[in-house]
Order: sequence, then structure tokens, then C-alpha cells
Amino acid sequence: MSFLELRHVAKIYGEGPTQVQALQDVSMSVEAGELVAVMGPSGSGKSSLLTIAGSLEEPTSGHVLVGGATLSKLSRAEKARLRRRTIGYVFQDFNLLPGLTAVENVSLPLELDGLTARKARAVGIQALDELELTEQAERFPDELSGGERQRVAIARAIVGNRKLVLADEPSGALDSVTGETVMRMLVAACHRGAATVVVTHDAQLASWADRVVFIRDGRIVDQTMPPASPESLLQSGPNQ
Amino acid sequence: MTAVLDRPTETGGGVPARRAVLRWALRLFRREWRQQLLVLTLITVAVAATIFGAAVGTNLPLPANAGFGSANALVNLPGNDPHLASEIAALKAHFGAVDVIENQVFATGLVTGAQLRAQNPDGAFASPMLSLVRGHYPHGPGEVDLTSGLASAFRAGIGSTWHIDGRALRVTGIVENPQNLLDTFALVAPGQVSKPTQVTVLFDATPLSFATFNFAPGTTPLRPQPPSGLTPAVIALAFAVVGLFFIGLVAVAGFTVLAQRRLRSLGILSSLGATDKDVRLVMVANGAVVGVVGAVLGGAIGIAAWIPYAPYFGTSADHYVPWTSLPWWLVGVAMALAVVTAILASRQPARAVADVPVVAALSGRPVEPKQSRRSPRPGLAVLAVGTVLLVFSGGTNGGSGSSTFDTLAGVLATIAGLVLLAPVIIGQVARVARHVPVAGRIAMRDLARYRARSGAALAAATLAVFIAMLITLLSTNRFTEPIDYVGPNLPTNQLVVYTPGNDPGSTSGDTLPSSRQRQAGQATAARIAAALGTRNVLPLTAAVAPTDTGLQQVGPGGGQGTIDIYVATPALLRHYGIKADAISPGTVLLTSRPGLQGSPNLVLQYGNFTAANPVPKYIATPSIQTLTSLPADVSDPNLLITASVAARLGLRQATVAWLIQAPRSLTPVQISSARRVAAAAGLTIETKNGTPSLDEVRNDATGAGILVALGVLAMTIGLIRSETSGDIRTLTATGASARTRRGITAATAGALGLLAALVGTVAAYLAVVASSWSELLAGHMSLLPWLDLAAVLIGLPVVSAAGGWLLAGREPRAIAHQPLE
Repeated sequence: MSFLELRHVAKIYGEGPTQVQALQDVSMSVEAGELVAVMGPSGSGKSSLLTIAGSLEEPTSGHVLVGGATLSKLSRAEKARLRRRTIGYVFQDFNLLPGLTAVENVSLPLELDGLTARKARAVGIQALDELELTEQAERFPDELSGGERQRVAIARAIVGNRKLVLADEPSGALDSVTGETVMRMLVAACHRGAATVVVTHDAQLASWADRVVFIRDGRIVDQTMPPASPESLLQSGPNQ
Repeated sequence: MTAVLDRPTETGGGVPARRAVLRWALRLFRREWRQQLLVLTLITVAVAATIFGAAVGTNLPLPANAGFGSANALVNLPGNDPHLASEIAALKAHFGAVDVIENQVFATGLVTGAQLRAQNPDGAFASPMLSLVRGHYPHGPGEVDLTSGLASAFRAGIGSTWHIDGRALRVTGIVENPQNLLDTFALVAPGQVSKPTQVTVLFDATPLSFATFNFAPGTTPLRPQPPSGLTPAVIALAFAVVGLFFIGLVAVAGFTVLAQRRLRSLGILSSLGATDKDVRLVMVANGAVVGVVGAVLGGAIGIAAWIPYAPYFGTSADHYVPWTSLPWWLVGVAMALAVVTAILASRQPARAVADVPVVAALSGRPVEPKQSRRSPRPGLAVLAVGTVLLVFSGGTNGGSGSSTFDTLAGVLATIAGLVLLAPVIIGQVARVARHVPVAGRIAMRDLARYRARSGAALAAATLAVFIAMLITLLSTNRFTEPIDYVGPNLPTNQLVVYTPGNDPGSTSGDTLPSSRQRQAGQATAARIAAALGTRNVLPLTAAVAPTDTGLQQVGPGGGQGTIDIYVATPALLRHYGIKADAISPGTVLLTSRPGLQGSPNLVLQYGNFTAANPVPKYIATPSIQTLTSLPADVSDPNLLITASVAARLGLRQATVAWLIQAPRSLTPVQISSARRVAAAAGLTIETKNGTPSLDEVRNDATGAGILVALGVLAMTIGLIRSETSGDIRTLTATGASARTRRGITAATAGALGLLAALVGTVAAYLAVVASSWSELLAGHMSLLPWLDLAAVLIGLPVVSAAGGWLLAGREPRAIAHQPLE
């Protein structure tokens, strides 16, 4: 069953002469545990697709379903709860809160969801530990390297058993080696059952995905299975 | 990856979420307190000023029980009453314990006299009226304690001998009346005043016992009067509310910009699942922290400043003021108001930032300002209400018909009207933008686009100008009132020697000095003049009892009067270089008071005013000639009746005083010495007092208003420009030089300064004209303080623009994108 489903989604920004059609009749679905890469030129609507899927903005028409729930039928507070519990978002420029330490950034969604600070912190420490960031837990974002920041951001996106991870150019501000590390983490999240959508320009990174969706001028123009990734070559199975 | 999480089922995160948000808000405040220094400082200053002002206002008047000690009633008995002892006994029988104070008036040479007082320091009620500064209280017949003023005047110290009525008394201590430090007296032991002028009996009485006692004729029973009308604390609170409202306006702008600086952070918070309530809480919590910190700091500063000042203030307020004498309820209310103001000011920006779409917030894109078309009607309506209240307030000169409530409400409504109109006025600025160079065009259009912020800044600066101009205009009006004349009494190099009963402290008309007093006065004046190194002594002649003169204005707006009219003797005219032929024929009065000549409905009263049934005579619309060569100070001969008219009216004339002009300012030693010489001759002297001049009042008010307005503009311009920092980045990227950037800030500051100066001045004129229309009709109002008008209308915009130019121009920190704060 699809965990994320977009049905005939359209998005128009502005009005009149300034109107821009960012998405047109976009339909796609992502299964639990599936990693989908979205590629396309600048201005093609990739980020709009992601923000709409993540309930950060409303489609002009069409429907988005996350875990079977239609986003347009949810209140702002219910969408906020969905983002706290179900959807994890990874941004190109990390978007860590500068006033909070790494572990506080990670545990913030849990605290916002009502978990006590002590319990949230324990879970945050555990998440950082799994990403080998235990030593950085008490550091503030401006004391971390770019790669470390993005790993903290990923920890924040997946903490609390999120079922949908949306990553917008997660390696865009990183060097290639660190970028691969980040992709490896997102793949790990998929293996734990999270439906994952990654927007990227980088074909090399897109090759990690189970499926690649191509967007141009707001429309899905192609969907393809990627060539075998370095990692997938190591796996055995009838599809390989 | 993680353990199973037991989370609440409601949509919000409950207490833990709020706690997390509050923790972050606190941490943000600690990290970014410098950016909130403006609001923090304003709140701190407002609370401190309110507490300090309320302390001063509350303690300024003498205590309600001054003169009563700890008693709640007193009766003054004539000292020569043959039944004194029996009346005191009757009082004791009816009221229980009583305390008796005997006073005998004696001359000191001071305008205010002194008393020889017999009082028991351990009396049942009078002990709060007596305090020992040094030494000990007098015990026997040969001992006396003096107040410090008296000791200084007679150069007497503890251990020295002091003479009165031919008696030699040893000074054993220095005393004071804590309830009235102006009370000048020599304290002797009970029973040591041989010829009391007045006997005061203090006692406690119930309303019933007071009403049922049959006080003897000629006695004066009194009870403390409760304060009537608005108390100083309430007035201080009203000003605090206005001040905090004014600060609230600035705070809204400050918090708005702060919210914008935090836009991305708040967007991140939303993207992580924070509810709108959580996002709002970040800003509101920040506002609360700013309010609490400002209130606590302001409270501490206000009280800390008051503690050392209270004793000094006591000497100015003429009674002992303990530092604990603070309106503590007002301290609490002012601090609470500060917190409420900060919270309320943060609510609107909090709501606005929570409404920003998450994607827009994440990109740091400010929401395009709404093109609201605000109607001027509410502002005009409130302004009209304020004007009407001021019209019915009965004037601002404190006349009998004036209403403090109407005046206060009128001023508050006028201020509210200005605040409502400010964004509307800002909206009109863009209309003229097309005609100005690019920097000015951008600045003026930005002002109009972001009018929520610029309107608040304009309202705050306008308020400062309004209050300053209000003080300037009211003081101009008051000081230039030609009939009820006020102002500085004398230049620093002049001294007037008065014969008994003819000094400014005397409440009745001038009295005829005896020939011995006249001779003593003339000789004393010559002696003092010689000591001051001058022979410039001018005898002042006036109508004396039983005749008197008075100039009064009758009819609408009238009621004012003056009795200080000297006779234009040939010697006086010669002294001021006025030739006899310079006086127009038929002239009745000569004056230097501007505006007196031409004032309508003037009547000169003259005749015998001391008769049993006086029948005053009048000269309606007396002919008045203005002579600028006459002096203008209040105690100088600034209003004269011509000698020929004085003779024709049958006025009894006598020299009542001598004006001495020294070559340079008098020193305290010279004044003290002159006073002793005068006292020895039974005369009094007058020198310059502490009343400020009109120029001092006006310049202080205008300067303070401009400074406050500049401060507000300086602080808010930074906020407004930071809101449009994206435009500055764009301009810089497209090659705009520092000159252009400076031009934008200078134009923003200059435009706001000009608008604030114009609107504030117009509103002040409106308020003054509305409240003093009757005086305007009476034709003796001067409302054109040119220098102050120029300072406000030209100086404020120019200095604002110059400040903006000098302080701007720095290249943006990040040109490509908005930095994450």
C-alpha cells in the first residue's frame, strides 16, 4: 500500500500576469520502505512537490494522502501533528535551530509532541548515537561541520519512527563523500520502513534510489528504474 | 531505531511542548538581547521614571497632617486671650489629652518671618513636628534651640548666645520640623514664651466630639484636609500609562522586526510540527521576558535612585521625606503594566509570524505587506473627542473652573487620535515620492508599504514632539500673560529692601511706613548698596493704605488681576532714562509687559479699600503705554501709574521699597550679610529666587522633546530599514553605492522626523487653542515661540536625516540570502 500518494496535484503561485504554474496534474505514489529520487531542471517544480507532500503548503488542486490521511481534510494543528510524528524533512541548508544543541535539535519534534524533555533527550541521544554523532550531541550547530549538521538534520527527520522522509537536495551543500554518507543514511531509513523522497540534481546520488521521477515544467515526464547502484550490486535477489 | 514512544493524543504537545518552546525563547533572548536593547531600555526607563516621578509627585506637597503632628485636630487660640487657660482646660476635659504649643512672632529680616516657640519635645501629639538635628533640647529658661536657617541667619551655633527681646539665651541645639522644613523657629522650654502671639492646641477628636464642642469665638478649629481630586500618584500612573502606550508602539515595531529576523527559525519550528500556538508562544514568551527584565531593572533603578535622593528631595519639598515614602501600590502596578505592555506588543507580531506560510518562512521571505486602506475617520473622531474635552476643560492655567479630568482625558484622547492617524498620514507619503530622487523615492515608498511599523514609529516620535510643544506653548502662554504676571522675580544683580508689610509675602495692600521705618529703610538701602559697591538705589513709591490700586480684566476670559503697581515718579523715570515728554498725554499706566497694551476689558480700580464698606472707583479701559526701557522682571517696577494720574485720583503715596542694582551678581555671602543688616532695621529683602525663566522652561522642554523623538527615530529607523534589508541586498548587488544606502536611511529618518514635527506641533497647537480658547478671545495669548518652532520643525528633520546619513551605509552582511539569525 502507498504511504505517500499524490493525485492530480497542481500548484499555481501568484495571480494574473504574475501567475506561475509550478505543478500540473502530478500523480505519484511512494511505498513504505521505498526510496524515490526526484530529478529535474531548476524551476521544474521539484521542491514544490516536496513541500506539498510534506504538508508545508497546500496544492491548488488535487489531493495528497499521507498514511491514508487526506491532507486537505486536516486542520493546521493536525498537519502540525503529522509533521511531528510522521513526516521528517531534510533541507539543503540543514535548518538547524542555532539556539539549540545538536541533541536538542533532534529531540525538539518529540518535545513539541508532548514527550518530556528527559525522555525526548534520551531518544535524541540514541538517534545521534546511531549516526555516530554522540560526541557532537552538546554542540551548537555553528560548532559542527557541514556534514555533521546534515547528519543531525537527518537524525531530527527520522527520530520518533517517522514513516515519511522528504529530503530536498540533502547533499547540495556537501562534498561528494559526505553526500554519499548522507544518502547511505537515507537508504538506511528506507530499510527501516520509511517511505523516502529525495530531490536531487546529482544523477550519481539518484542512482541510490529505487525509482527516479523526472519533472519538467511542473509535469512528471518520466519515471524509471535507476541503473544498479554500487550498493545494490552487493545485494542478491531475482531483480538484480 | 527508537523505543516505542508514549505520546499524548491531542493535537498539541501540551505542557512539554510549551516548556520546550519557552526554553528556546529564553535562550534566544539570551543570545539576542542586544537586538532587543531598544525595547528593554525603553521599558526600563519608563518603569524607573514612573516610580521616581510618582515618589516625587506624592511627596511634593506637605503631608496632610502637617501642623497636626500625630493629632487629628487642632485649634489656634489668640495669644492675648484672657481666658486662655480655661479654654485649654475645657479642651482637655472634652477631648482628653492635649498638646499645647505657644508661638511668638519675631522679625528676622527674612521675607518669611520666624517664631519663638515653646513646645514639649515629648508631647502627646507634637513630637512628629519636632526633630533634634544636633545638641539637645532646651531644658531651662536660659536655653534655646534654633532651626538651621535661623542659626545660619544669626550666625549662631551650639554654645553661642542668641538675643531676643532683650534676653540672652544659650543655644543648646539645632532643631527642625520634619513635617515642614520651612518652619523657621526658635525652640524654648514649655512656659518660656512670655507674650505668645498664638497658642496651638493639638488633640484627637472624633467627628462627633469635634462637632459638638463649643469652640470660643476668635479661635480657629481645624482638621487635616483629605486630598481632593486626582492624587499625584494617580496622575503619575496616567503618565505611566501614556508612556508605556508610547513604548508599546515602539515595542510592536521592535518585536515585528525581531519576528522577521527569526522568520526562518520559526519556519523551521513549524516544519518540525510546532503548532501555530507554539510559534506564537516563542514571540509572546520573548515579550514577557523583555517585560519582566525591563520591569525588574526599571523598578530596581527607580527605587535605587530614589533612596539616596529622598533626603535631598525633602529639603526641596520642605518636609522630611523617608525613602520608604513611596506609593508602593504604584510600583507594583507600573511593573505589572510594563510586563503587560511587552506581552501585548509581542502578540500582534506573534500572530503575524504564525500566519506566514511555512515555505515562505523557511525561505526567509517577508510576507508582502497588505495594501490596506485605513480610513482616517476613527483617528479624526478620537481627535475631535479630545478637542471637545479640552474645550470644556476650562483652561490650562489652573483657574477655578478648570477640570483636571477633562484636561487629562482630552490630552489622552488627542494622543490616541494621533496614534490612529499616524499610519494614514504615512500612507500619503508615497504620493509625493515620484518627485524625489531614487533614494528618497525608495525610502518614502517603503515607509508607506511598511506603514504598520513606520506608523508606530511616527506615532511615538509625534507623541514626543506633541508633549514638548504642549509644554512650550503652555509655558509661553503662561509666562506672557500680561495681567497675572509670572516669571523670574529679579536679575541676579538686584536686591529690593522692603519696609514692613510691603514685601511680596504680604497678602494685603501696601501700608504706610512710619517715618522711622522710612528713614531706616533709606539708610539700610544705602548701607547695603555701599557694601555691594554701588550707589544705584531706586526708591519705589506706591499707593499705600488706606488707598490702593489694582488692574483687572473683566468680561469673557477675564478674571486676572494685578496689584503690583508702583508710581512713575520723576526719579524712577529718570533712573530708566525715560524723559517726561516720552509719555503720551492722557496715559494712565506705563508698562514693559508685552501684550498689556491693547488687552481688552481692562479696568483700573482705585480708592479707599480699607474702609468698612469700601466703594471702589474705576477707570475703564485705562490708557496704557508700553515702554521697553522699563524692566520686565516680576518684582521690578514693570507696571506704573503716572504720577499725575496718581495725584488726580487722590492716592496716598509713599516710598515702600528700594531697588538696589549691584555691578555684578550677588554672592550668597552678600545676600546673607544684606539680610542681617535689613533684619537689624526691621526690614526684609528680596533677591532672585529659583523660578525658571520662560526661555529656560521652553528650551528645556523643546530640547527634551527633540532628544526623545530623535532617540525613538534612531532606534526605529534601524528596525524599519532592517525590515527592508532584502531590498538593500538587492540594491547592493545591483551596484548601489554606500551613498545610495545612506540616502535611503537619511530620507527615511528625515521624512519621519518632518512628519513627527509637523503633526506633533499641529496637534499641540490644536490642544492649546482648544483648551485656552477663552484666553485667546481675551487677546492675551502668545503662541509663537519662534526659536522653539524652528528647532522642532527644521532642526528635528535635519538632525534626523543627518543622523540617518551618518549611521547608515554599511554593506549588508550577506548579499545572496537572508542570514539565519
